Amino acid sequence: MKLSFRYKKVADGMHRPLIPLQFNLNDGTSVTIVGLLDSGSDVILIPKEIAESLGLKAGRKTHEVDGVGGKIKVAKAGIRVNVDDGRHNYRIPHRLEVCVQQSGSMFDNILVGRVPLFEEFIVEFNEQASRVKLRPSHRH
Amino acid sequence: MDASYEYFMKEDLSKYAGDWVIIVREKIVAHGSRDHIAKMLRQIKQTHRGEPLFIAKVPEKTVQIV
Repeated sequence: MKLSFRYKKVADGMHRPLIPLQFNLNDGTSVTIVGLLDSGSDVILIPKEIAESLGLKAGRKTHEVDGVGGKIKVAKAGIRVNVDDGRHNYRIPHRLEVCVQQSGSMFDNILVGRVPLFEEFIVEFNEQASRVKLRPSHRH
Repeated sequence: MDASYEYFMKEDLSKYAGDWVIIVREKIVAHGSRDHIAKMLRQIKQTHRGEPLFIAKVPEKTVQIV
C-alpha cells in the first residue's frame, strides 16, 4: 500500500506538501486537518487554539522546542489518526503523539514532522512530480 | 478521501490566503484567523451537525522557511 498526495499549488512555481490527517476525536466525531509535511521538524506541532478547539487534551508538563522563530514551549497530547488518499485508508494503530504549542512566537500552521509520522511511514518526496508518497513501515 | 480535501487542493483559494478555513461538503463555511477558529468551529458544529469537517490554513504566496 502506498498513499500518494500531490502538492498544493500556492503560486506559479510554488507548491507545498500539504497532507490530510483525519483526527478521530474523543467525542466520537472526526475532523480532517491539513498539515505541512516537514522533514526538518522533529515533531508534529499544532497551534494551541486549534488543539483546544478540537478538544485535544495536552499534558501539564511542558517541553522546550527550538525553531526558526526561536524557542517555544509545547505540551504533548495523543490522538488517533487515519490517513486517506482516496484509494487507501490507513489507520495508524496507536495514538499519535503531537506537540501542542503553549507559548513563544506562534507558527501559524500545523507542522507534520518526522516523529512519529516518519516512523509510521516510509516517506518519499518527489519535487519533480510535486507528489509525496507514504508507505506504511509496519514497524509494529 | 474527503471531498473537501479535493476541493481544497484544486480550488484557487488565494483570496483566503493566510486564513484558516473550515470546509464542509466542498464549501467554505467559515474562515478567519487562528484566534477565531474555536468560535468558528463551535458554530459550524451546530449548523452542520454530523457533517464531516475539514480544517486547513490557506497558504500564502510568500517563500516560507520553518
